[in-house]
Amino acid sequence: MNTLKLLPRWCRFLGLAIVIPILLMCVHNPDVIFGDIPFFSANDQPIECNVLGIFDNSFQYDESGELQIFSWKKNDLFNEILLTLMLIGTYLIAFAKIKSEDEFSSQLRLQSLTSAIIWNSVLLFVLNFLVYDGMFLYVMASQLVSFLLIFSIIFALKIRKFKKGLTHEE
Amino acid sequence: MKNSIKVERARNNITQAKLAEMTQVSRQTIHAIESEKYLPSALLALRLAKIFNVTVEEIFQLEEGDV
Repeated sequence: MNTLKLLPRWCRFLGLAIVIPILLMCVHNPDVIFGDIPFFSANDQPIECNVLGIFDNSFQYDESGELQIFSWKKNDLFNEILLTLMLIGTYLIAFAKIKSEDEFSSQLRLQSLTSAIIWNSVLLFVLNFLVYDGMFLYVMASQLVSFLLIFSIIFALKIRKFKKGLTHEE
Repeated sequence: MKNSIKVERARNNITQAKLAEMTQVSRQTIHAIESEKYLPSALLALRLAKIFNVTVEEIFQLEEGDV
């Protein structure tokens, strides 16, 4: 009996193919998530276009002096696309079926989810007292995907542990 | 909760892999149940009982502290 609606197995490999290159780029240069793409020079804006922003760096005022919250601005969408791909990739990895999907693996998923919540909170708690000022923005940005990544790692380790135990049985 | 799946398997000469196939779960699920690391759903428990031709209570027994 398996009541979880999960993605097909191949989604895991697609997710890994998306997430690994982006993670490597982030390790090479953490500013990637804020729009500093390593293979473009600082002035390059590969996907620049007009976008609707809820608010800009500073709230803008129109001619009548009214606060204008919604405004159009020019922005390079490269980092937004990277973040979207990263989110999609981590979802694909976390919620793809494994080879032997059944009620036991559903239980392992639930346990891994609980552990991931705890470890992600511990990580945030520790980093809160170790990273200060502007650098904390990187911590906040990493929190966007860290939970699903931690969940995927814990789940993979649990499955691996049980598969390892199987070889000595029968 | 303890169970006698291993004993029933030996009695019926069924391997873990065969039992997994018959109950439509993975071999690691059968292994986890036998090693008492996982409590199966009511549906799986009933399937196991049907395969071994016994009642669920004959396979799964409450231990002291479970009551």
